[in-house]
Amino acid sequence: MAATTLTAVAALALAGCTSGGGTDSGEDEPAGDGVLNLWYGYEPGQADAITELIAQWDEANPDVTVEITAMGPELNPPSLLPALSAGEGPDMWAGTIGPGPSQAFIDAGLVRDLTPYYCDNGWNDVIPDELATISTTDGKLFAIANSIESTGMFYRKSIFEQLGLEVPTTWDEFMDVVTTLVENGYETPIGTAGQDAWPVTHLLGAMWMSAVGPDGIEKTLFGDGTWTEDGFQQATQMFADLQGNGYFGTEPLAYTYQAMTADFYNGVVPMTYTGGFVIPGAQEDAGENFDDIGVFALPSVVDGPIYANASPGEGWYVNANSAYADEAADLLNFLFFTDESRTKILEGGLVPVGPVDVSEVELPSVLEELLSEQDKYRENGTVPTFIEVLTPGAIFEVMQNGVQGILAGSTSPDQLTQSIQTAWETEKEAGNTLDASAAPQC
Amino acid sequence: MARTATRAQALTHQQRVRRRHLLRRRTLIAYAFLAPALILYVMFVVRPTFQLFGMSFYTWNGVSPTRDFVALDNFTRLFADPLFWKSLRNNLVFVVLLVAFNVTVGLITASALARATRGRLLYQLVFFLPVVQASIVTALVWKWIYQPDGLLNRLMEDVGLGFLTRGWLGDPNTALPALALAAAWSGFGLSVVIFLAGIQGIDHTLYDAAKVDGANVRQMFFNVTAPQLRPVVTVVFLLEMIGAFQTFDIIWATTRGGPVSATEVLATYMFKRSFTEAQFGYGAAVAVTLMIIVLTAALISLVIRERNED
Repeated sequence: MAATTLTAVAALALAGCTSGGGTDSGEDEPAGDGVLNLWYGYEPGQADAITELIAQWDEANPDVTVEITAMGPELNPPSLLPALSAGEGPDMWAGTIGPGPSQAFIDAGLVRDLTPYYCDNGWNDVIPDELATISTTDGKLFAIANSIESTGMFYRKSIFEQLGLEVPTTWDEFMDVVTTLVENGYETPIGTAGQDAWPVTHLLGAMWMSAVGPDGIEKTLFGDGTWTEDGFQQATQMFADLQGNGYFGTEPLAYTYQAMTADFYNGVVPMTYTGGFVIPGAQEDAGENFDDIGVFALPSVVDGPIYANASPGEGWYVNANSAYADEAADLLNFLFFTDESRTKILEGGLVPVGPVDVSEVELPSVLEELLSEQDKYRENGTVPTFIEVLTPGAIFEVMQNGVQGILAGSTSPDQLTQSIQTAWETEKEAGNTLDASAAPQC
Repeated sequence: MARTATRAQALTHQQRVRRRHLLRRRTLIAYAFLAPALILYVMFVVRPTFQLFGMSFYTWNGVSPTRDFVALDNFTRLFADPLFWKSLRNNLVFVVLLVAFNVTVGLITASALARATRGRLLYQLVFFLPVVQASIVTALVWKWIYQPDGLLNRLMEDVGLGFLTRGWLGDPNTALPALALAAAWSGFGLSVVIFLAGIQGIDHTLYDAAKVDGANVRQMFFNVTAPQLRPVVTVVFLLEMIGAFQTFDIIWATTRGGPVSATEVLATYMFKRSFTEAQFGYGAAVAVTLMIIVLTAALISLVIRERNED
């Protein structure tokens, strides 16, 4: 791949920044016990690029020992809240980013203001403003995103080759691919994992973004747009049609993410809409089939342009009461802002935030394709990958329920968009939506 | 003579005083022994319960030092939320299925076991095994059983019922009964053990008398066993009902309340509002409502039992 400079942009044309240089990082700090506790959502025993880098930093910093608690796949585990509210909990942790559950910790003053580190260490030169804004409250930066996530339609190349299928670039071509797969005995041409709900909402979210584009989503999130406007309605109807035609299989609601992923790796399911976050695990789980996985951008559902998509992955937070705030910030600096670490994270299958030179990096093939697809369409604009990063938790809950309702045939597209609009109005009134006017300034 | 009588009366008075003193001492000792448990109960049950009641009148995100008093707003919102009513309806269905299964099948199984002369202990152990099993294990086992390619569907295909196979937990019509059955399976052994203990406590002369009167097995069950077990049935009924209302883990580990909220119960509804959406005041309102429902149901069943006994 030619040298590529990626600037991950979350497609939010956000208004001006408020003033504020953050709080003083030299607050009274409690005495430490030499241990920097870190809670991180990875599978126990499974080393990834980040855990390896943490071990490397740990070795180079003998004054403090990092103890990692594996939190499994659960973002914001329920134990985090009581631990933090009791004045205990980890010195730093990785959790959701945006106006979801993490916002409660920030509002309660339990999260360290990272703005001084952001300014002093030059993180502001790396993190695009649009992205920093998502983890900013009242002009203060509270989280560092570990990666930029993009999604696409992941497919099995050998199946496409065997059936003489080309990667589709229009919705009609995509439908041709789907029908050909069905005609050739693939009962579930698009794997959705409806039982776990969240994977299939990514597909619907992508269809929404495709229909309304960067301006439409900005208008809805920060302006007077609604979730019941034509673009959302049309995309939801098309999603319901995919279900109605049986393209998600006979029983998508009985399909778990685990079972669907296994079927995809085994070639039972030829396509699934997912993101770069699966790549680190897929290298191990898909085994020799890993190189057979390809990815293409979802064609426009309205015969319009295809947009690139980007959203921050996990956010890394530092405990406001930690005795090791400076060490935690130093660890963040090492993990996400040094060339060596960024290269290692890329090689591991995740895309670090900010400009990345991939010319000298040996990327997993599917990540290379995913980045290439994003680059191809970036000039058309960028839309958010994950709705849940930009909306309060209640919205995603309503969305998941509605998507399952469509898969079950008990919810109409109109009902789904209307229920989201109702929840959105409630959350907006309560002041729980993302504040577009705030951004950290140095 | 008169002197002797006075002395006797004096002794009696002394004895009475001593007895009263002894009784008071014993009572004090009893209270002293009870005190630690009582203090712990007040600290960890009574106080948090009152705190929960208090919290339900506030909006609070669970971590913030400040909370806003909203009087009954949380309850108003709760009763206006269709998902709350759906969760309550699901909870009631779950309770009915679980209690009906564990009380009826548990009682029948215990009666059969009581008549068994060999292997009773083995059966008891087999039935009781799921009770001691971690609920998360039960959930995972049943999730596997109910999968589209799981044990249940394979079994149905083998016996010619392939047309009935489905993804049991993915179908909004079957997910709740399927989970109720799984929960019943995990608690069924306890009902059997309690019923069996009750049956073994029934006076055998009643059965002998029934036999002399020519009663058959069915008549003995309905005319001797069942009436004698009424207090035990009440206990099992209450335990199962309270447990069913509180069900959380098996649902959370399998469906998380889905699909389409088909398995959403009050506990999962409360958990999501509290821990996913950081609305602890609202979650407390759900908890208080659940507590009132369970207490009311328990009181009604106790009153009915008392009335029947009268």
